[in-house]
Amino acid sequence: MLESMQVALATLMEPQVLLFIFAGASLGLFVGAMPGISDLTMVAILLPLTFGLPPELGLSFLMGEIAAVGLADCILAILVSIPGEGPSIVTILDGYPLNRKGQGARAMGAGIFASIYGAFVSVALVLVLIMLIRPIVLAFGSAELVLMIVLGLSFIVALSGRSVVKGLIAGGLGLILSLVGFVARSGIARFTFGSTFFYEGINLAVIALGLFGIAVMMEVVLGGEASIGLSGTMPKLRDILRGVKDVFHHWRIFWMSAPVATIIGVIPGLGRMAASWITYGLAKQISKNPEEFGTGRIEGVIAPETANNSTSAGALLTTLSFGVPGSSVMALFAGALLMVGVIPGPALLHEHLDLVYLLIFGIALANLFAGPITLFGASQIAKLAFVPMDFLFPGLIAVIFVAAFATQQSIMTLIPLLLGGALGVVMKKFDYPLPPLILGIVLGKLFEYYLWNALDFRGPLFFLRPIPLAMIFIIIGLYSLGPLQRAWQRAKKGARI
Amino acid sequence: MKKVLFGLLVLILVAGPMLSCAPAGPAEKPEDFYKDKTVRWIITTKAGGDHDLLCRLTAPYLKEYLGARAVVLENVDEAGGTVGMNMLWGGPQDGLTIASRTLQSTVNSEVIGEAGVKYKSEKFNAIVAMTSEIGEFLAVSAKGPYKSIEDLKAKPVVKMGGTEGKSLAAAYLAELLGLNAKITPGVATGDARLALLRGEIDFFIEAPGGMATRLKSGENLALVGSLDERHVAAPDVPAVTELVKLSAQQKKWLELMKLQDSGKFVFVGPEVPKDIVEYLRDVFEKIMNDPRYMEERATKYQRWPVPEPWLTGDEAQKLVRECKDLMLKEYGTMTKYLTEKYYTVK
Repeated sequence: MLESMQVALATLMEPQVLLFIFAGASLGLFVGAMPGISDLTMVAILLPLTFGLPPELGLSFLMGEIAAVGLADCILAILVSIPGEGPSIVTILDGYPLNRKGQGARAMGAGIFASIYGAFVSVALVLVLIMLIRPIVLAFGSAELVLMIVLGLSFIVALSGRSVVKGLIAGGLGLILSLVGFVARSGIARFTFGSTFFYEGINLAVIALGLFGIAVMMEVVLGGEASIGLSGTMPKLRDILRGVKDVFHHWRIFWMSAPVATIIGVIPGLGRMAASWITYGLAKQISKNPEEFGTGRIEGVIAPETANNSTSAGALLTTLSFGVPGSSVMALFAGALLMVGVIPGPALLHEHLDLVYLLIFGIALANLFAGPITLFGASQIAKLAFVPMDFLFPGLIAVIFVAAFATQQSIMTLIPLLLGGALGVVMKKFDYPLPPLILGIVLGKLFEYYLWNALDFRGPLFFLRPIPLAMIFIIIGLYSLGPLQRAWQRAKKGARI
Repeated sequence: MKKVLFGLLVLILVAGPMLSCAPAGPAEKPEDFYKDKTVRWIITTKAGGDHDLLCRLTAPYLKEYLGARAVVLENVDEAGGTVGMNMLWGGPQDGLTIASRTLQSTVNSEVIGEAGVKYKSEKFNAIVAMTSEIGEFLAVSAKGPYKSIEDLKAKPVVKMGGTEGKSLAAAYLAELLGLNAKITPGVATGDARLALLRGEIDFFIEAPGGMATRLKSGENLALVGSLDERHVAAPDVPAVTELVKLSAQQKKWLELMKLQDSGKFVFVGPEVPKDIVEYLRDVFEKIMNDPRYMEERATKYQRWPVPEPWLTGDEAQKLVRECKDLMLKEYGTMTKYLTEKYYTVK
């Protein structure tokens, strides 16, 4: 093992390998920052370019791109409520309100640094987990995944804000929207109105652009506000550094998010989006100020951004050691491995352990390269919050529409985009929370898929297994802790009187 | 002045439709038609799998031979690829959209009556079969409790999860071997492989290319092949006819299994002009015979111990018709019977 590590490190220090990781990371930053371009699309475009390269260069290039995507996607999310990549939707919830208070640079500093730090921690965890990966992945089957998703769905309540009823309605609407499209098992079309466009279901990226992008822009413009930043001064580098310090200050949130997200990354099927939502929900539950989440709490940025960038290492390890991709991007990466004659699977850990280490270390290196660039760039981009809306609004609306079109290359994307925008405006007007809606859309389809598999593979009592039962107790514990604490305090007060 | 303007307006309103009705000039040649245009290639599987990789390997050659501006690859894998084929069926019929899927899935989804299928398989124009892969294998986990078919038969109910809509091979083998199987369709390949490792399912069915990879990695053990002779991709695995004696009816099923090609077929829409279809077939034939392509395929894609065979457009088209005809003929006795007996989703 040590020898393989040494070989990997020696390869990593070769100038050509460093250059390719840097090039990949730079592209990853661009993809992460640009709404409408997914990392899957970019990897698919880059794949043929790597065909003629030596394996260590081609794979390092792709790995650099994949590793850096999660760094920059928070920038537009915090600045103008436009998600760069899917998981950054969660960052909007507290990141954008922070920007409105003039603390956008601080939020970006916290988000970007949490991503970098999260990547390093997840790499360290994965190095420890290399020999334990098999029992972890095999422990999480359909039954276990159903309960993990139920845990995620339970956060609909936690994220409902002032009105749990409104949150449940929003979550229910999200679950209904997740039904649109084809059912994998039987190929029945639901709510597609006979259009092939809706066969793939509601595209989350497009609807999020409408819900968060258009709705928020309309709110600012119709409110007659001069700029997005309502208060504060022009951001400086020290504001970015303040955000960096916040990550150390809120160390409990960070050290909860990084391991949870790494494990979620290891388990195939859940992905970065679910990791971001789950850690956000957990952060809210353990925070001393849960009621302030959604209004501009820095922890609400740290948790999802840590998770966002902590899943890659875990997903890579599962892909390499099982040959089963931990995510869609990893599926393409596994294809790249096959193209260079490397068969991912258990044998890889014995025959090419140096390559495994090379790729894992490559994740850390990509973040090391891309991190400072992103932090510095963010301090400049944060100034856009004070640009008058007269100038900013047309450009942002154009970005939103182009990004929506780019996701599916179809003019029909305007339908969910504009419907999402209208829905977002209405929901904001009547004080219905948006997070439960998104959570319902994200987790609804996954829940249905794994539930049917669990019922078929394990029977109706599939939840009577150690991990599902533990998850049930965790869910009960999470939601009874608050009321129990309050009851205990009331009892103590009563006893004193 | 007003009269002049009015006159101009009338002229435009009248001349426009008239010009559009004017007889068209000579039809564009297919070679010129594709120049500087964008071709859309619908891949009916997820990104990263064998099918996807072969399409990505082939796309640059297609762009070169067509002189196209770009070949854009799009993964549309919903409903096991039915959505992608529906898009080809209902989309523009100009030859700028192609789709690839296995013959087996394309025909089976339609004949079984999978909800949402909007196409007729035999009406698609088959351009080429980039690989032709007949036969499937019943595989178990190499580290699991089953080492032979007898071990599987000893279990009261054996479970299987798989993709490609209704996996006829699984039900066919279960019937021939006397397994009491429950088959869950619509399970992604990666999930099925992990489910097998966890013991959530007992076996799954794998095509020759995938099986060769799994055998090489040591992940799986193949217990039997679906045809009447051993497959070149796994020559140590017995054919089902070595283990059981087939009845007359089952021999007919075997003939159908020989038409259930899980190779990567490329199609264009039913109304695409014939000259475009012939041109595309010619282009793909050139690609398949291009030494550069053959070498790249051998080094980057080949899964079998020998190069996978391929079929010309005419051969592929003939196979589509034969497969569908026989499936319809045997629908009652094979397809309907097997799906109702073994699938958990009716």
